[in-house]
Amino acid sequence: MSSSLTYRRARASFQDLAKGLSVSVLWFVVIVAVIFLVIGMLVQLTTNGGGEASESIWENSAYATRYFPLSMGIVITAAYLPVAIASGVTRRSFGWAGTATVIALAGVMALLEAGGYLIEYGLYRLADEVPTFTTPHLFTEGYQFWIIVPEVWIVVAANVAAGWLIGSAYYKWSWFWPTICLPLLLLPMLAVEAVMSVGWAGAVMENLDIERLPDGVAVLVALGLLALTLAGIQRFVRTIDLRPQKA
Amino acid sequence: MSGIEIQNLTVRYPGDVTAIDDLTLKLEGGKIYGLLGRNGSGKTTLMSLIAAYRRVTEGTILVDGQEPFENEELTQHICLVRDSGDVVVDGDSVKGTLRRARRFRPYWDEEFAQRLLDTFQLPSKRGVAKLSRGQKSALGITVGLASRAPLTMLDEAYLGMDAPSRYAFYDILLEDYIENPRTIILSTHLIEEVGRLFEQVVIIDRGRLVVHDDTDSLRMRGAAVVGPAVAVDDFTTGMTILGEQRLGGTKSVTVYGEIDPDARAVAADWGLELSPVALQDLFVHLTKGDPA
Repeated sequence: MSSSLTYRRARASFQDLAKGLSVSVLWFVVIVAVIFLVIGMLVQLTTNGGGEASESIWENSAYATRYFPLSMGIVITAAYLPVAIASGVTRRSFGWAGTATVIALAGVMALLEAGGYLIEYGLYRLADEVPTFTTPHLFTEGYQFWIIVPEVWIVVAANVAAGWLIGSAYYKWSWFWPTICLPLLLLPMLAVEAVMSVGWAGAVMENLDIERLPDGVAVLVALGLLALTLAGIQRFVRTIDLRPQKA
Repeated sequence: MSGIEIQNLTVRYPGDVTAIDDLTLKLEGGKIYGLLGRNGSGKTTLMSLIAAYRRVTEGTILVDGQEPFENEELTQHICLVRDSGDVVVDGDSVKGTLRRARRFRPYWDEEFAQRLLDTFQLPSKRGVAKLSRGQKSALGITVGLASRAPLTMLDEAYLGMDAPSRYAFYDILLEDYIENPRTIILSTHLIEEVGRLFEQVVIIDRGRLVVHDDTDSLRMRGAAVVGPAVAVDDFTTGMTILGEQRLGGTKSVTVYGEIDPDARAVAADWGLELSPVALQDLFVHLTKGDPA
């Protein structure tokens, strides 16, 4: 089997996935930007007098940028595996395409988040304020995009991968067993969240008095867990038979 | 040339359902095959295995001497259209569906695809979800034919299409097959309509092979005997009768079984006409049993 053929087919499959998901992602970005940046910032700035540290509004967008991509992950197998196989793509190539989709989608969210924090920081500074964060992060200031990007990228990728795993399990086994095993399917994502200990997971870990790993170690361990998760999903996807057509 | 060899293939589904039962079959490349069987006889399962939609667990399937499952060199040259649904994504448009096929199918013929869209009057900008049942089938057929895959399988691909569209499909398929020979497997229940396209017929029933033969040879396995009622009754005595019709003093009886030259001479003497039996009558006879 030529690896260049696998690469070409995986790339084509990724392009197909990217094209299919792009409209939803674009709308999501616009909606999140409008809701959190424009409305949130206006409300915050008009209710505060200025000159004090103020809570970041944009920090709350982290929930949306985690769970919307997770839902996108759920449809990867259900919507695109059948059409990929019907187009002569192997599950192996599709697995690579799915992996690339997870990474790319998380990358888009990381850039969105980093951009949002940067803009928010600038706007707060204009009002002589400094945004503060209510949950732990690897970064301390909103302008530190070089830290924000990897933090968000890793966490969101773990969420999209969780969605992909859940969607694949539901596609393969229908609803009963995957529903029973849902906590197990979420474990890889929870493990990454726990290791990274940022956002809500960081707050939980703090409440539990569990000390966070040093940043570099946390990032490396989380990347390792993410790689294992994606490799596991790829293996899993290769076992999936296409469902019969509905009458 | 996309020959297919199937050895001792068995597929069991949960609930003790045997979809394919120890099937052994060899199909040469470069022919149009009719794959016939009653509902639930295993046709779709068989084609799904050939197209690597499912993994073979018992027995073997070889296409051009290779196993298709997870074999990208091979699967890019195999196209199975099952009722159109697999080749489309909800929310996609007709244009988007063709774009995908162009991306994945190495022998994709865009001009031919556009011609098929025109023939089936498919609006390229319309969303797949807004297409009628017949239009979705036509889209599936468009993808199936314009892919020009060396092994093309169409599983009841015409569902919901009106008669003019179906006949246009048959004509185009035949014309394109002559210009671009390849292996085509058509699964259908409209045997009389599609039968003229088949070079060979494979009939399976309850997952087992019943018949694999040239269409003409198969049709010669029986005969329609037409003539004066008394002479027809005398001639067909002791034969396996598949069906009979009577109009005044003339009777037509369809019989199963080879009619030797001597018997044919007798029939001629008695003023009886013998013609090949209708494929559908043979199919019904060969697969009759409990209702599916």
